[in-house]
Amino acid sequence: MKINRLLAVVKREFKERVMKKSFLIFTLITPLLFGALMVVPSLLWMVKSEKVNKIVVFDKSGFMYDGLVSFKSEAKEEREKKEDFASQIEFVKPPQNADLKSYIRKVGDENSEIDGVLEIYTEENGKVVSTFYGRNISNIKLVSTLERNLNSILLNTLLKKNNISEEVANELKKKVELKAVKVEKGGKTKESSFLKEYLKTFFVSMLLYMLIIGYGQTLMRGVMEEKSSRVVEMLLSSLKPSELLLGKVLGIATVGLLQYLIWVLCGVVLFIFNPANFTSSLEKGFIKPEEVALFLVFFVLGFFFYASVFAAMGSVCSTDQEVQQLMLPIVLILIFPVLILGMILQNPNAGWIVALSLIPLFSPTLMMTRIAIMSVPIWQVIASIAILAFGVVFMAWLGGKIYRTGILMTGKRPTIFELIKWIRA
Amino acid sequence: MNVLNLREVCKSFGEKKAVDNVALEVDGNQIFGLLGPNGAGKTTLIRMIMGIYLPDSGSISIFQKKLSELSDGELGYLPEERGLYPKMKCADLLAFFLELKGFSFRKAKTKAVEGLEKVGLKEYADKKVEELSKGMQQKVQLLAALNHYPKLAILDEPFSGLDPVNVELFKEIIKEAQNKGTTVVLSSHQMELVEQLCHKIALINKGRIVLNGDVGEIRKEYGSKEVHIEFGNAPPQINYDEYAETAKIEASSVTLSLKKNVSHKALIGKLWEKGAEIVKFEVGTSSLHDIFVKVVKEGEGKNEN
Repeated sequence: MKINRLLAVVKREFKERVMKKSFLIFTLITPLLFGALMVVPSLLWMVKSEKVNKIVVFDKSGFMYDGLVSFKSEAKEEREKKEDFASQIEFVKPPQNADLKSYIRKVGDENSEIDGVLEIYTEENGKVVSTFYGRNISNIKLVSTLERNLNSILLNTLLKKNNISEEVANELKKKVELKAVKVEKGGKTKESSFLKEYLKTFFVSMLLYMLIIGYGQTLMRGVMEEKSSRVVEMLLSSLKPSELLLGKVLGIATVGLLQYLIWVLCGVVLFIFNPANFTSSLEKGFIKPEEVALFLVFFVLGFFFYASVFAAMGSVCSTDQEVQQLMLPIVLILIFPVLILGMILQNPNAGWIVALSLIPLFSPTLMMTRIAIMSVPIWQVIASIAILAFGVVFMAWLGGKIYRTGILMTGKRPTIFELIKWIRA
Repeated sequence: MNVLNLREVCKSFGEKKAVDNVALEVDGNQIFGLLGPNGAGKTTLIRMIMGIYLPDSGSISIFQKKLSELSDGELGYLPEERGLYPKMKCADLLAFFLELKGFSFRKAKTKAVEGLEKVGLKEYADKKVEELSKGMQQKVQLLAALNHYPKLAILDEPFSGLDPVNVELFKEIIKEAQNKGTTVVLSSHQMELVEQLCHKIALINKGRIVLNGDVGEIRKEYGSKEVHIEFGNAPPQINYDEYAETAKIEASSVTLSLKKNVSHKALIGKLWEKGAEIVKFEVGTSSLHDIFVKVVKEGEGKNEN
């Protein structure tokens, strides 16, 4: 191993990647993209649609329609709160003996002036059931507005029907407000909400996935390029395959670190100067320094682990099609925490999740995802890192064997038996 | 000085023996030619010399040392499959290769630009490799092998795909490197070029060395023994059978196929003694190409038997 030759490779990889426009673009776009991801849904919610939805109400319960109408007029007075409900929905009573089915059919017609049908009836035990037939039930705003208010209407109507005084009614309408407070080690507490925790965790596991896959693919394309342009033979006349591969991995990892450093610096600057009250929505302690550091550790180790896989893949493939087939399992394994994020959030300490977060294939993204949710026991973090480090060495050995034979091969992709032979050689 | 020494080198790919028990010695400061038909094992042999493949058995030493013991920059290499990073600037690429050879970055950069200037590519220093024509890329590739004046340069098919002008330029560059002390081993199947350039050659066929030695001596041994002599008078009456295996005597000329140990000098001396007026003495030359074909065919004949 000659350090100066290794450094020459590291330097070339670093320079070639950083000078590319795509590096600059990705570095700038990612924070913007994730910022947008957090802001856009609430923006969409605020956008007012001008359209008034005409909804025909088949009220078989006999009392809900009046409730709806009076609630709507009440809502109009309280403009601020229930503006949507008041201004965007128009309730219509169907003529006597109208046929529900024919109205539902009308809803399906694009040009129909009716946007939906609301069917309300009481079951024998007094339970009120309602069904909404709409052309576009994925209009979350409309459906959730209906859902939110029907219960209040039912309550209001029932209270009025039973002649309960307004005072008592108001008491009854009071709700318990539940504040969620996250308790961390040492009794530190912080207020949080499901949405915030969800977005943060999603952000962390998604970013880690993108970094490992992105830089892994960069490495793989580099290997393929050297193979197809035949530079590799020229390089191997001055270098050992292990030196070449190590140089490439280190060079690309340096690019990743630089990118991460830029993001962290941006974050620090934002917190210090706090433009437009940026930090008011992300109160102190939302992202902790140890999380930033562990993210770095899992990115670097995860990248090293998968680098061997990607390098071996690049050395045996010569077309993008071949690569795509082999990529799928890796993508699935790395994105796994994002796919089961709901389950992890519910119980980040479930036995199988803990076990998987110790296994190197999953541990980079899965352990980091758990760390983002909760205070993971320190022994688990250390064990995960240690096992991953061993995994890195093992994969480097395995991938290196395939790589050194693969890069000089031409023609057909080797079979799995040939690969085993290379590994044994 | 012995520069390159191969002993009983073997390499197989699966069932196929690519290089079979090859022994070869190359002395210092010369141009050595490795000849052979396609698929003879030249590239495999060269890749083993460069340490890209490991031999199955046998040993390879360069300057009496193992490859791993050589210091930086002692070797230069031009692979048969040309390989450059298409997206890199020419000067950066050459500098990178020089850095791999152990030069400092600054020195490598200066040398790279100097080299480009030498082959008339100065204004392409900051152009990407992919923007260059094929011929220019070949020049850059040759520079990568010779620019640092290595002690030993291995050039695999340096002339393939070149136009006649560039062939001349490449010959000049290779000769210049040799003059500066580089020992050059080149492989080729273009015999004329090898004949013009090389001092010694080895002929390789089916993974084995079938002929090895000085170009002149090989020609003497394997070349044609045919002599055609024209006379101003009638051919003198001597016992031609003493000199030739076959003799065709005509009115004013003879065509002889000389015996192995007969020198031209002895024959001419004898003819003069007998008062011959020699107008023309023509020695049938045979190029390496003929020898090559002859030896390869003979070898195949032997194998079949």
